[in-house]
Amino acid sequence: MVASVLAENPTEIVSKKPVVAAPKAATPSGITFVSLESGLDRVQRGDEPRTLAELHAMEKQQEKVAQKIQAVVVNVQQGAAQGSGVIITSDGYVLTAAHVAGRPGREASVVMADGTRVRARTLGINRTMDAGLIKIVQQSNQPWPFATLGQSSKLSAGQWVMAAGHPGGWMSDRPPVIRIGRVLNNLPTTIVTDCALIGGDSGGPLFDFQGRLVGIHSRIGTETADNMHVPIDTYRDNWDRLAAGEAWGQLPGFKPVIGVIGHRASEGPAEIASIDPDGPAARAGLRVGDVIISFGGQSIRTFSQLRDAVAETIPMDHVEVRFERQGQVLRKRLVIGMAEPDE
Amino acid sequence: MVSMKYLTFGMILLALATWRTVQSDTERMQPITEQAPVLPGRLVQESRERTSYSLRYVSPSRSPNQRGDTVMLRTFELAVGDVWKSTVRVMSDRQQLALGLIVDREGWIVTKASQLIDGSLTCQLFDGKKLPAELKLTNRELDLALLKIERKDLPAVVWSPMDAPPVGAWLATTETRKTPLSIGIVSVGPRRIGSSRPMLGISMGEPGEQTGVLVSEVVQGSGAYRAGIEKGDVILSINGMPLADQHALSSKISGLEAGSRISVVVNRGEKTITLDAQLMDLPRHLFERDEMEVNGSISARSGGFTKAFQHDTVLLPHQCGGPLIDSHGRVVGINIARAGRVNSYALPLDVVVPAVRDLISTSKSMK
Repeated sequence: MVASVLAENPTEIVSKKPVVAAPKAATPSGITFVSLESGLDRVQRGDEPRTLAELHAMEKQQEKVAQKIQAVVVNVQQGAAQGSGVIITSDGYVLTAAHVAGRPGREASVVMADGTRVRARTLGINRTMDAGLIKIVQQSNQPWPFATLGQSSKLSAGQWVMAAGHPGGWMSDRPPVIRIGRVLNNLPTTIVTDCALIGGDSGGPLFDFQGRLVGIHSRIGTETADNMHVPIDTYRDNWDRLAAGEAWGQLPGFKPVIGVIGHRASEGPAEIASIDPDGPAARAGLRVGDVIISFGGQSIRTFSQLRDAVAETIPMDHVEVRFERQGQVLRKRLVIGMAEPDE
Repeated sequence: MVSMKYLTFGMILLALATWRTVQSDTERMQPITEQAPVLPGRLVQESRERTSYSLRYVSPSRSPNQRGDTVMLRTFELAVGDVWKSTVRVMSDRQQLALGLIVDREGWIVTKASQLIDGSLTCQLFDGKKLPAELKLTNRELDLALLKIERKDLPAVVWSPMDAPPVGAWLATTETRKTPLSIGIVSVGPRRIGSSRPMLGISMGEPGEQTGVLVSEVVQGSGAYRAGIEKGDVILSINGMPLADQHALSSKISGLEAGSRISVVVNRGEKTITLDAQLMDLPRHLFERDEMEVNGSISARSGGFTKAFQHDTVLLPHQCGGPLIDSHGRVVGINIARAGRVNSYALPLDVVVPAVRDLISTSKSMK
């Protein structure tokens, strides 16, 4: 299949469009599917168990799902960011969040449930939905274990779901952490559940009660019942662009900033005219008068180029900046910040 | 305004109104200034006096379709049966410090040691009666305390087989009533839980001409925060030992255990104040501005256990110390810590049972 081609020449991934079709949900291929215990029809539709028999049947179901999903959950490390992911094809496509993948064409590490670390490369990201795709590029004699895909459009409020991931980052003595919850709201853009998530879970999988992948963890609110997941259908709908390594959109409300203002003439050099003293640039040690000449490896000639380069990042990205100060070229690493809501 | 975060480890982002659409059908959230609210019940305010966890609730908002809604809890009443009756509330005055478990019908009770404070303790039982309790012994390693109340024929726990429940298994946390407090599932099987360095929860600075340590930042939800230490205070001494500089403070604290209580003398303006603070297991990242907000209130001693299993039940620190019951009405562990938004830890029976036996026999022999 494509796997070998991609593995031999990983840099090709971003330019060549893999001929892999979006996997279909109808066929329960993948290792995570669990057929329904008898007597669970009502619970499966999103009701509560009302008898002990139902509670026990449900428990048996969730223990099976918990066991099966472990092998397909991975930890994803890309630059300074660490998140989770889930394998969805035998040749190693891994779904994650856009803010975990970072940007297309970068080296990444994928750590399997058993601790094996393999090389991967980031493909496309849809920032608007926070959907990201990466591909394992390391050769393997074995097909990768992969998740059975479900359909997020079919989810309805009340339905039971199970979440997995690596909260707090990878820990060698801890397998993926399993949680249970219910769909509180199923919007076209976001699934909201009360499966509690925290930093490190991003990109991890949300499964329905039969072990079918229905979402990818993305963001949280302060309450434990506010957890948002990217609907799996997003990846299916965007598959070609994601697999081709395209990056587009911006997650609403997560506008990246570095806290500097340039001079009025947008054509002039990217000289800092004023700086937010608490902003990312100031914290990294930049000052008024510094002229930024490169940002994240991209060379910068004008302030508007700088603005465009910042817009392509995601808050909390770590980016290297080179700038001129009194004839010297200096280099700093800064952490992208996020615009206040009224900016 | 809704606060929202990305979930990459180390990423802490606070935002924004744009996602209000997502929230439109759910409850509108209030701005949260201290810890995150947790179910059941919304944490409205945490007392900043003493080292207390005095919590005020609005009534629990168990909206339908949540995993622990009233219908679910009713089904769990069937599973738990009468086993909840071995749960006690460990109190100081009218304040609940922890839950506890009756381990012997002659009045022996275990609870989470680091939740206890000096002064007289009482235990409230299944029948609502409150009895004075005496602290007999502590097992520091497991953070278990043995209490004794004077009452016979209590509904003590019946230990079931020792195996920890499998990942995915249902768990109910009970209090002194029939309806469980909260439910969850096993998230990770038993393992060793490491500890972070004990922290007071401040960033330090130089006080200028004075000796002592300037508090340049107080971490929300930390021991310093709960004790009422404020930005700008100058810490003069800890446990009666004067502090020359930051180094002295760090080395003093690193020699203590998470969960231990210290007396802190600070200079605030013209005044000198003595405050009692509890050291906490605080991973570095919790020093980030609003990481504590999404984690909610966590136990001061939240790590350093030789063996515990992890579950996803939402608990508050003062709801630890009591039994964890499976779907067959068997006690399968003791809740020993709330360690973050997604993790509560429980000691499994193969750890608890021998420890309890030792505590009781040692206590009896100490006459």
